[in-house]
Amino acid sequence: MIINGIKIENTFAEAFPMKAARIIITADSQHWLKQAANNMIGFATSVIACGCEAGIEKEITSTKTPDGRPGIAVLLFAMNSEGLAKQVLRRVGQCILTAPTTACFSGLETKEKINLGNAIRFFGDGFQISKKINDKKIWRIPVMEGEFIIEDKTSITAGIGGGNILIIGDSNKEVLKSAEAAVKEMTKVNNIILPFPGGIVRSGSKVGSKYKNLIASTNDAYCPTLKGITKTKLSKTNESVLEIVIDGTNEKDISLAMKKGISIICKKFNKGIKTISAGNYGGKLGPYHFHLRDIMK
Amino acid sequence: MSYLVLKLKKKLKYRINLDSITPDKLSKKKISTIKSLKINYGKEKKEISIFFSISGKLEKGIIFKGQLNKCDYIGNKMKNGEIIIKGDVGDYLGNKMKNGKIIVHGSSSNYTGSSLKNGQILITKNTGDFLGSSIQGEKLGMSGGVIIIKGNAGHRVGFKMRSGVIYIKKNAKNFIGCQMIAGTIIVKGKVGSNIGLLMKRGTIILEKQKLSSPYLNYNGKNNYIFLKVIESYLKKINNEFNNIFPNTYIKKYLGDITCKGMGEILIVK
Repeated sequence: MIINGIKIENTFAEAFPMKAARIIITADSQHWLKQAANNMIGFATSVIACGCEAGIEKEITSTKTPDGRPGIAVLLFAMNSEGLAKQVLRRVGQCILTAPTTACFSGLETKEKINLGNAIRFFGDGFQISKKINDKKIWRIPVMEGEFIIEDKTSITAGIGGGNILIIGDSNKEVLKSAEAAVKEMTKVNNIILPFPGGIVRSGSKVGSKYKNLIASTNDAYCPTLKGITKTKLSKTNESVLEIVIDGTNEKDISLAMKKGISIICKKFNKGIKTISAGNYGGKLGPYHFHLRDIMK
Repeated sequence: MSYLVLKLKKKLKYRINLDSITPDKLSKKKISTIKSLKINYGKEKKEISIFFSISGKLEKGIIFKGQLNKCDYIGNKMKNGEIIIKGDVGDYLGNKMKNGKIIVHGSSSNYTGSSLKNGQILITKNTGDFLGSSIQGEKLGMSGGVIIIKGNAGHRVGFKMRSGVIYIKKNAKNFIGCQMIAGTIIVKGKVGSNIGLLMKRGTIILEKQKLSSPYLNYNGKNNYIFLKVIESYLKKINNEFNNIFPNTYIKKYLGDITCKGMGEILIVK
């Protein structure tokens, strides 16, 4: 398949099941909202070393948040419920509780729940106060600034991690520019995050390594500087490859994000970009296969 | 969805106990069986059809019509459905109710929502004493749910209250939140004396009230964002709660300090 001169490879992105939580952070000002949210999603690019993958899903207007202040929805993904609960507790405890004016709420409604304020309340040392309205319960934890408001529990849901596209081009600059444009389009889709810095990965990995203790290492088949000595998947003119990884709460939105990303590249960057591909492990890693050509039909 | 309608035939001389007349208890009963149900009338047991004309079909709930101020325990331990009362009602309305909704188009007497566990009670006029409190000999008052009074309330609102929300749109008399353990009481009008006496925890939210009780410590002003949070949750239950807390930067008193209580009284204006 060729769209506007760019080859869409006949391959698929391979993704795997995860557990996801959506946390809504609110604050008095956009400044403190972003400070808190960016701290919470810091060092959460890959579940391999960070414990979870996290990102800002969307901004929420003050009319739609529980306390009538501007909000940000953060999505966090981990391999299982226990791992997710641990990461949520640590990140909320260290990054939201500590940030001035913030409050924290669950952004999902499902039957499966993990602790949110229920664990952090102990910081109140007995001075914490709970308020329960029907099935909603919040904690008021006294802090030096005043009060920190946090919902008792947060719902979690099944998620999908590892959707991806690879952008292959003949110029570093063009590939980066096109990836930036793709990220801008993809982040408009709800229920997904792009967990890597700025949404882009330059160091895509393969499974395993020549070194015993390393479970992942550089994807040499896509390294332009190794074309002469490896089984490369790049052409002679290809100079750069960037990857965009997508985690989401459902297949439909991941596919939509991939489509939006590829579409904008094909529309605006057909001079520098030669191929769009995707990373997979032959279908052995996960049950979710996002076939590029099916998505772009 | 239709209702089972019970219309009071005559003025009552003695009090009657209607604790067995709830949507969940009558849900599978035929109308002939319902008509022959025995209820307590004073010291005697009599058929309900002597006092009420019964019609309709029980699908959504029950409608009571007439001056029911001698009818007690309506909605007692109710689990679901809806009860609508067109007229005034007696004591112990919604006693230990577990869920569902009771709407009174009139006033209720004492002990409304006593030991309420969950659900919603709405009174369009006034209510008597001991709203949402514990009944005699019991340790806990209401432990969940929401009570809305559009008129005035009597003495000892939320006596031994454990959880849930009481909202009074007009005035309340003395001893509100007395021996309160937790929960939230909101009064938009004036209140009497001895507010929050012997309260351990819980929140009483008042408007324009001057407090000088020796058992309360003034705590200064601060921004209490949680008010907006509970307002948004309550708004989903009933539109009466729309913008009830326009201001969150408010005064706070803590007490009752004589019993090492951590209860709070917030003054909104």
